[in-house]
Amino acid sequence: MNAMWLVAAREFRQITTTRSFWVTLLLLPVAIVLSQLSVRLLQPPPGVAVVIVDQSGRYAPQIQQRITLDHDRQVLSDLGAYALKWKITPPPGAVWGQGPRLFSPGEVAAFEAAGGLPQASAAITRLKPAAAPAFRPPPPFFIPIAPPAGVVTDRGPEAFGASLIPKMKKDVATPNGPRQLSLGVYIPADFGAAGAAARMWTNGRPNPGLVETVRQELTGALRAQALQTSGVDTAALARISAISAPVTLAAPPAGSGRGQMMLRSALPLALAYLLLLSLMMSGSWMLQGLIEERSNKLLESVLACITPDDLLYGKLIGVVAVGLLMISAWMVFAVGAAFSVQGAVADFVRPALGSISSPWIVVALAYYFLAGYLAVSMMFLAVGAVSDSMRDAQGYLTPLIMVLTIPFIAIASAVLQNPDGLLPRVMSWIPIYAPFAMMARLGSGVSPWEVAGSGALLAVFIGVEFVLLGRLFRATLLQSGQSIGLKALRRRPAT
Amino acid sequence: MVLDILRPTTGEIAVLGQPPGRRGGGEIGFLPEERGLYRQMTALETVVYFGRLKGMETGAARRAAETLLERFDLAQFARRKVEQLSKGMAQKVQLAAALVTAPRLLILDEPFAGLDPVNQAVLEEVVLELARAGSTVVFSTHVMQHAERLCDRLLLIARGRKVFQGSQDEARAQLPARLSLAARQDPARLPGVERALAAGAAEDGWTDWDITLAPGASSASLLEACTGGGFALRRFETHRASLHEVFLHLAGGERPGHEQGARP
Repeated sequence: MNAMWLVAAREFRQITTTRSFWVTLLLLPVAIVLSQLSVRLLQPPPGVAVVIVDQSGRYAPQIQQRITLDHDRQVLSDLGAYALKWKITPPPGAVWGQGPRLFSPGEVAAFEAAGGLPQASAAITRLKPAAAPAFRPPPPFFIPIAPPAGVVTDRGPEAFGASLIPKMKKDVATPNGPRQLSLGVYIPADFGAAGAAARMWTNGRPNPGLVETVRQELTGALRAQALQTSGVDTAALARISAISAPVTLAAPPAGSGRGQMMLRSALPLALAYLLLLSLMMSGSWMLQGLIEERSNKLLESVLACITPDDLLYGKLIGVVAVGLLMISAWMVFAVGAAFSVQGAVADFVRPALGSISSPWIVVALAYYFLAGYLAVSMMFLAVGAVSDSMRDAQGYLTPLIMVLTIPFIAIASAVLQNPDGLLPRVMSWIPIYAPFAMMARLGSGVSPWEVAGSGALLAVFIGVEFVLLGRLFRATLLQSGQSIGLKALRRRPAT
Repeated sequence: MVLDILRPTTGEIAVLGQPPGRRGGGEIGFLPEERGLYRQMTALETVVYFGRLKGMETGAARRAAETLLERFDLAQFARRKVEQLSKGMAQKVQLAAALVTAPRLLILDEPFAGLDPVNQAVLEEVVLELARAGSTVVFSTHVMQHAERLCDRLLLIARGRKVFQGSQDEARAQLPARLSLAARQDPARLPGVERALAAGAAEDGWTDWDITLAPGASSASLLEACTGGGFALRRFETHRASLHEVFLHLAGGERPGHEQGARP
């Protein structure tokens, strides 16, 4: 027993003192940090500028009003999401207390009439928990600006377009700072008459929402004019324009929608992925160690002191400890980042942690994690036991890695589509894939009998692996350059 | 088999009065022919590790390791990684790992291979010390001089088969006794002489002779016969057969390159 722990400690120390271990350990957090930094630093600030030249003077205000309305809707929706996220009980009648949804122009008007964002922010500041950050309204995405200097507005659309296009190649000044000039709109004085068209110029990346907004408003204005021409009075026209289709949007209860289900699968799936990643790394380090021991005949000295079983179990314990260290470090980093960073990552990880709040799920995750580690590590050890060199080992490793990773990709994809789909369920009963499939599915609810059955089958598989690997170890460790037959697995050598 | 890595298909083995096993691993030290160490471990860590694998406490293993490394002139390299040591130094580290438990039975496979003459002398000294302290040392070598200097008992193997087992005297007895003498007369007729060859003329009528004694005859009885029978002698020298000659004699016609060696 003592020898086994000594081997485990040496194995652990050997792996954790290699540079590649630390590179791998730090790679994931560094990659996450870098990706977050790059998103923050490289992503352009939100919002694009739009220039509207309306020679008639009738349409531009309407378009700007619509842009403002859309932004107010977004503010209201975000307020609703904020209140829901931080469990704020809104004052009676507060429009923003209705959760995130599409608000009608009337509701927006009522919100503005009740004091708008300043009033809502003041109420939220009183009601929010201390830990909740202050509400930050979304910046307007479409920013109407006056034509930049040098843009010709009084010599027809061609001159306007020709002078505008160079301005679109660079950012232009807006009240919110420099932004891309995404759209230029020229509305002629006789817009609406036969042959008189509004013209738009884009910077090559037209924003469909903005183009559609302009088009809708111009169309609406022309229709209103047509209705007025047809004899519809102004009051009736206002009533008709205010008509909004009575549509309600049904959403699943919190925590049960598809997005939430995916979110609940995310953490277990991430765990399964981390299991695979750490297995590949630690398995390969262990394999290198074993092959080094075999190739330089170090094993003769070691086996003169301890039994092959002590060596086998010690190596397994050592490599499992390495894997647990890697996973723990990554988990601590991920959870720490989730709770210390306010942002999309945190918003994603926090609810995902809810999926492992049940103790039995935690136990099942831990079991499948350890069992998966043992099951796959033993395969790496078996490769090491029959390989005289890394070149030999590559012949076995490539198919082994393919057999493990390709189905894993299929499992991960299938779990995100439907955790109870046929593929994840079938894979849950194939021992070498069961740890990945079950870990990925545990967050979205798996029946206890399925967990127990699959877990028991996995335990039996590991037991058989132990026996076979033990025999392989005893039969092959001191053999070099000799082919290993099935006889080695069938018979039980004396030691 | 002695180390319980392999088990015999037939028969039984007893080591130090017990069936072979690793429970008493500390009582057996083993140095394999092909040397290998954990390259990332220091010399001290290596010796301590093997000591602990054999059941020693950390403190005792460390003290023994330091003593051995000092003995092998490696004290200043104790904390250097094995990969930074020369081949000879690494070999001494491995030897220290085999000796760390002060084993009652020490098995050394070609222990002198790769060591310079100074370190060979140190190793010989260590082997003799262990033997004097009551340990049994079994080692294999192709160099018969080591066996002559160190061994009480020998087992000679040629072509994979044992050709002799016994003491050095018994080994030498495998060869006909030889001696040389200077006499005026032909010694061929003396009792116990199988063959006498004139090796050259000495001065003043004396002749040098190489004598091969008949099986069972001794140089002492020949000398006695000479003195008793008035056979004039000017020189009488007995030749002790070397183990090298014994081996050549026993291996008989062994071709170079064939596996052969002595397991004293």
